[in-house]
Amino acid sequence: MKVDRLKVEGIEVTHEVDPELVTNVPTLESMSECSLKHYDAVYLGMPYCWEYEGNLISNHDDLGAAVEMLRAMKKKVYVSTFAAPRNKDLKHVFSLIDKAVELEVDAVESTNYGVIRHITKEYPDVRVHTGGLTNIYTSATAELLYSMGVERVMPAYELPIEDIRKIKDVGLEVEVVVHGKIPLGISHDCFLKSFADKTGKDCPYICKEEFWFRSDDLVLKPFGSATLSGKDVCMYEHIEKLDFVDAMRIEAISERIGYRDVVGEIYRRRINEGYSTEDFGRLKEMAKNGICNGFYFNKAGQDYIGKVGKAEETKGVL
Amino acid sequence: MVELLGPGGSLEMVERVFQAGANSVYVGVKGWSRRSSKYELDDDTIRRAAEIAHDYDGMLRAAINAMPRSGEISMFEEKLDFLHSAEVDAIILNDIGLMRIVRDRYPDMKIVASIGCNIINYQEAKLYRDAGARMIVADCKLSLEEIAEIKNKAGVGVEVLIHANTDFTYLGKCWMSSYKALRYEELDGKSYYVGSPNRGGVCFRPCLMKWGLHGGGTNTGCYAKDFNLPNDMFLMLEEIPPMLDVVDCLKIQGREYSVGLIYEIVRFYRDFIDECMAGTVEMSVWKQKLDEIARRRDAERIRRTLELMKAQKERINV
Repeated sequence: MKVDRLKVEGIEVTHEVDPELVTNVPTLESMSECSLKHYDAVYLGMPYCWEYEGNLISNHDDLGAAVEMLRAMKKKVYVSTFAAPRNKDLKHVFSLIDKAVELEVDAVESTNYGVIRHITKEYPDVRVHTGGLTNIYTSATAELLYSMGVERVMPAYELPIEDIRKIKDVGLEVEVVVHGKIPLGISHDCFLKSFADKTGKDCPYICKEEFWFRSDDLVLKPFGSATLSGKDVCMYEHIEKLDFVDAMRIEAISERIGYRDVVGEIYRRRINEGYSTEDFGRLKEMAKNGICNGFYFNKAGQDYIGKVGKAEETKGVL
Repeated sequence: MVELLGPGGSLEMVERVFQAGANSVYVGVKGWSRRSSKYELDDDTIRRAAEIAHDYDGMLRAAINAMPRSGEISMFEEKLDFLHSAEVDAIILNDIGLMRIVRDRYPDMKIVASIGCNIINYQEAKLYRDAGARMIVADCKLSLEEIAEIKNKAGVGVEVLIHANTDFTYLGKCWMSSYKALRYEELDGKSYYVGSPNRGGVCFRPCLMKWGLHGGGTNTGCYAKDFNLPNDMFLMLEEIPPMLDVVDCLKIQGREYSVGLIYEIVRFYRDFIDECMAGTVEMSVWKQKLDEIARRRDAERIRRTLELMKAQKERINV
């Protein structure tokens, strides 16, 4: 999809490079060869809660096993870190980074500037990716991170495509979410836990169930200390507009295995073979609260603009 | 001596806040701060506000903390040149890349890392310090112990909000309002994002809508209804005496409130801090006074919240 320029023995040649298709898995139980076969790389660990049952960022033995599995599948291995570390959390995050370095993973992802600073200073050879909660809005910030040694960034979710391209122009790799529920906020605590009496579920099991916060015209998905979009961001129809990015993420951290499998397969086909009405229909069916474009077109995040450029009614929100 | 910082939502408010005993006042640069333009000041008014500040032997801070687009960095630099020429004493910034630009262009300009930076650990504070910040605003959810550790380990000044609100999410890490109702517009070549507080638009306060908790999958049903997502205003009192030896600045937010109310709040805290320093404070008397102020503040806040909720239906800035 993307034309890349390389110098081979002093002569500039161009060749087409497909973007990396990546996803994320929270636990060892959520890893299956079948569901990951469509992806080039996988982020390990659920970054929004230490207590999430089986979380790979909390359980280093499981993390080692997960890395081995991915290596056997010939996938690139990235490790996510806790998204909102306070002072007391830093030692746990640093311990995870030590483990990731020992396991020789391909990259460590962080959304916290303190953690990014720590990795680039202590482990200058480790490849660092920054996640969407890092608040990278400007090329000035991308330049700062580039100068620190960060190799890949996910620009702020609020950026439209033209501004993402400006981040890419800085020279580092850019990754974007092309499908799935994006975080709309992160807090210090899990609000869902306060409903344990009413739901009969408590931490760490409540997150394994499906719950939604619903209001008049808005649906949100609580997940750990994060709040995710109720609708699935879907760029299936518009993927060519993102042909300059280096990696496309299927955001599936809160989803069941089947979702990761089907959506990954559809996007792999989209990249290799092009648009399919049937596949697009399947994505819409799987989005329980409808699809949206996020902020790619400078619109409200929950709006959907179809290929013809008109706002479309997607599945009702209630 | 701790600095008492008050809001300047208008020139009248700037003067009254100094008369009430503040050491410094912050104002929003029109089109560039995290509030509605109604409460921001244009260039001429900022120049006059700086003169007023200096007449009172005080300082003026200018908030230029909305995230601009990458293509607007040259406009930012022009605005920066103006603020420097207007003898503004400090600027409040959100974007870490822009901090580095300010540091390199005007090394004498004091940079304050905004509440929107969501600085929650000492490693992060170190990176902001490296980028040029001399003071950071502590997130409202941090304990005094955490704040002291950040200050000691990072070696930066720390500002604490004593009249503000704790959001459902960390401040600066919330996109619920823009997901719900973002509207993009352009005026004189500058972009405006109505509904996105990170980008200078109003927050439509979706957390204060009536929410319900619904199950999905096999556990359909409504488990709770008509609740708000946590968003609480606070006015600190007992927390202040132990802070006086730790923090560098106490900030009163409230550019959107009436001048009369803000005068009362600033006067209250000036007298309270002075009495604390003299060691003669009788807490029960101060609590009673604060309860009365809180009642007036709540009445004004309810009116403002209703105004914002109405505005979100039309996606307009108010």
